[in-house]
Amino acid sequence: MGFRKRGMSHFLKRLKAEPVEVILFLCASSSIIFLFLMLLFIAKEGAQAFLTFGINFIIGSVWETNLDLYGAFPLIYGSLMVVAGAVVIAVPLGVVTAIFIAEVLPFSFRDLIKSLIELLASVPSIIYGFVGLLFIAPQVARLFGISSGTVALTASIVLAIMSIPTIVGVSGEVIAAVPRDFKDAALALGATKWQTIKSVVIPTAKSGILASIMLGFGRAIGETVAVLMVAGNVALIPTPPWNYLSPVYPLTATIAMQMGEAAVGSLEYSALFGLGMILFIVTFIVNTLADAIVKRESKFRSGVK
Amino acid sequence: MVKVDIRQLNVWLKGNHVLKDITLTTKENAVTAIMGPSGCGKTTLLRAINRMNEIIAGCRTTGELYINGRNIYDGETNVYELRRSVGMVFQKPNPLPKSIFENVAFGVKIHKMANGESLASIVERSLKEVALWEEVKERLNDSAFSLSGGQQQRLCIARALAVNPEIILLDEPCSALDPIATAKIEALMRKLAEKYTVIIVTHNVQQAARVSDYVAFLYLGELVEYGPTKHVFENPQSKLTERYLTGEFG
Repeated sequence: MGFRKRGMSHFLKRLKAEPVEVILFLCASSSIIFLFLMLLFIAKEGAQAFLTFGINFIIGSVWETNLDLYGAFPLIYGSLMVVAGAVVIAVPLGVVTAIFIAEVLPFSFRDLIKSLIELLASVPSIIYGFVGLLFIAPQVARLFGISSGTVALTASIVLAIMSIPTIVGVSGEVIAAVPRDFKDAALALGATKWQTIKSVVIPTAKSGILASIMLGFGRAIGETVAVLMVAGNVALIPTPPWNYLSPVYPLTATIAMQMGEAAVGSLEYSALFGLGMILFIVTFIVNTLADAIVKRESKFRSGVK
Repeated sequence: MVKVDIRQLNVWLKGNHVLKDITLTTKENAVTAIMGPSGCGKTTLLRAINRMNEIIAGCRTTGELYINGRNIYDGETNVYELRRSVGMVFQKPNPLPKSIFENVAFGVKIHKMANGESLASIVERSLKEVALWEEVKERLNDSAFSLSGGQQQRLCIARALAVNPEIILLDEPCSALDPIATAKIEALMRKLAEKYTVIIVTHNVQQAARVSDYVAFLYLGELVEYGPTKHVFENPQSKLTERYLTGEFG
């Protein structure tokens, strides 16, 4: 705020007068500088792919290293498919868990359960990959009678488990922040606990819950290791497109798998950076949306319409 | 007519003996004020009448509390139906984060009492009862938070009236309001007593004198004195009540 009012020149003058502030300023701006450098670097390396294939880099449906043909659509589709599946599984589980912890669980258990769920978030993703590969994939294969369990569904399940802590954590916070007054108002009118949750708690926390879903989505779409271990990694759109029992090749898995083999400066190398660019933009959009929703929520709470 | 009949009511909150052997009866279509210094248990007594103490963990109640001759602590009372017929208004106006219309309609919808046209007429009737209709009829779909504090409190009263209660409990309903809004609420309480049984908690002696027909004085969880307001104010039986009324403590 201060800067905008008094102008940049004033700000720079202050920097000169206070050396400590210079150091603080540099530290504070470093993360923004890193962000822009990263964006710049990825754009530079990926430019060749975009120039060569144009829009076909995004909508082309053939990703074939041997032919040096790079159309990322099956990979984008694979990512979105796996993440959509994860969201469908994780959102109900996560939101219900958060409501249960905040509204139903006796107070003394809350912290224990919360920290257990947070522990789930700190498990390295490679461990999830192991569990997915050695336990979930065989179960999926057996259950649906397919030869290999490394398919989109398995990846969705693993990603769902990984994003649940994010969803529970963030939506738990907003649910716990629903004012006591609101709940008292409903209960005093003769609403049951469930009616109060349904018609007061959830609508009040709605934006926050939505933001938690977005953050969970962001967590899921960026996940690499666990996904590449269980997704099957075939760069084709499943037939039919909603077939969750086919292997897919998500963006992140593609980059991780092929980066080691791609010659620096080759078209393949550039195409992988192009994928990075797409991923970057998607997560950026999702995070910005989540942020905007949270902001709208806090505005609404202060009574501004 | 006796409306609420409280006999040997004891309440413990988290191990504290908050109400001790309270016995009193309130009359129908009258305003009964419960007054006393902070921490004397007056809010707990009020919340015993619609069993709202129960939502606090670690609450224990013994004794009997009859409404229309039925003991609401007999274990068979439907607490949701009880709270519909015993409306409550809180210290701080607490409209729900919904529109003005939806706030008044909330309880009606919860109890599936009406919808569509008849719901709209209940909302109108309730807002008229609290003299808010003229002020808000053009903007029923605005957020309830767009109203002033006094309007919000009247909205909360309308919300309680919409579900056809018999008793209205008000817990220091004016403590967050300015004098003009307070005067409006006080006038409203007098008017409500024509149709409902009104029980109000207040720490404001003058307010009790202005609005109530009967007054109970509570001190440290015990009922010190109870009777028609005029009698209690002009001729208090207990030295403690006299000292409280003259403002020696409180």
